[in-house]
Amino acid sequence: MDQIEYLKQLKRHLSPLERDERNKIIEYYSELISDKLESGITEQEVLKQFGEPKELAAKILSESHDHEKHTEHSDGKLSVGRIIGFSILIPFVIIALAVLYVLAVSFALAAVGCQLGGVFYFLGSFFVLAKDLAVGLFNLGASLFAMALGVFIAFGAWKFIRLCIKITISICKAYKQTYVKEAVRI
Amino acid sequence: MDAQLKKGMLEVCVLKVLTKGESYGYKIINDLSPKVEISESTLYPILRRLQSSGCLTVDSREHNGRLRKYYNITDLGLRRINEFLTDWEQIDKIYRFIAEVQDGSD
Repeated sequence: MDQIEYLKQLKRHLSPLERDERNKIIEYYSELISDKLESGITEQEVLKQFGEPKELAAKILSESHDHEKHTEHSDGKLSVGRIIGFSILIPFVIIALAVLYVLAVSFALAAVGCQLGGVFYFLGSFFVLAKDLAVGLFNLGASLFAMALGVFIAFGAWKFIRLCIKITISICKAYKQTYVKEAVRI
Repeated sequence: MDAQLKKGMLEVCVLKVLTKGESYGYKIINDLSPKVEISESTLYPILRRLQSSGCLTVDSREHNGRLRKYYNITDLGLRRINEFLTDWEQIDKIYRFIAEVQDGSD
């Protein structure tokens, strides 16, 4: 096993911790490994000193557990408040998300509309061109503009949809944390 | 030894090492290990606690193409060492009292 694999396994065993905290711990051990390697100890020896990833993770978790106790003892009331607050907010969150998604779909439809309209207009403008050059050219330009606008809106819609998905994921995570972790603590 | 007592003392030990200038994880352990037994997994939460209580500051800097965290003691950290030393005078008095009682009972 090399250090990359070791740290990967360690990270997996640290899953009860918050992601941010887990990353900090991995950074800490990664730095220690690099420093030990620099001082001339071999990779295998370094990892042997740390012990199996599972054992090290158990040690880390037991230490961080009483750290948590110190900082979170006073949060008991806050946890209940958080759960109640989050529960009351559910309908509003759903409405807000629905509005966001309706907007996102409208954007996407507008983009498709611009594109399709632009294409038909573009084809149609050739017929007009045969009859009247000036009007035909104007139509041709306008249709190209519509298509370009369509691409532009599509790009915006894509960004917007991604933002919506990101917001949804973070809201889901916040709720998961509230109901799973805070509830466990109570 | 009582775990809580040991933890408190190790925090002061780490601060003491930092009075000689900024240091990083591996060096702190090496500087301490001849005198005080401390493992990597013990040091991490100590550094976190000292950082969150404002006794030390952390500075990530490049070293050999990677980032290394350097720890610096703050004024609060220095005060913490002094508090420990004055506390210890009292603990020493208590210790002598307890030891005396033990002697008397023999």
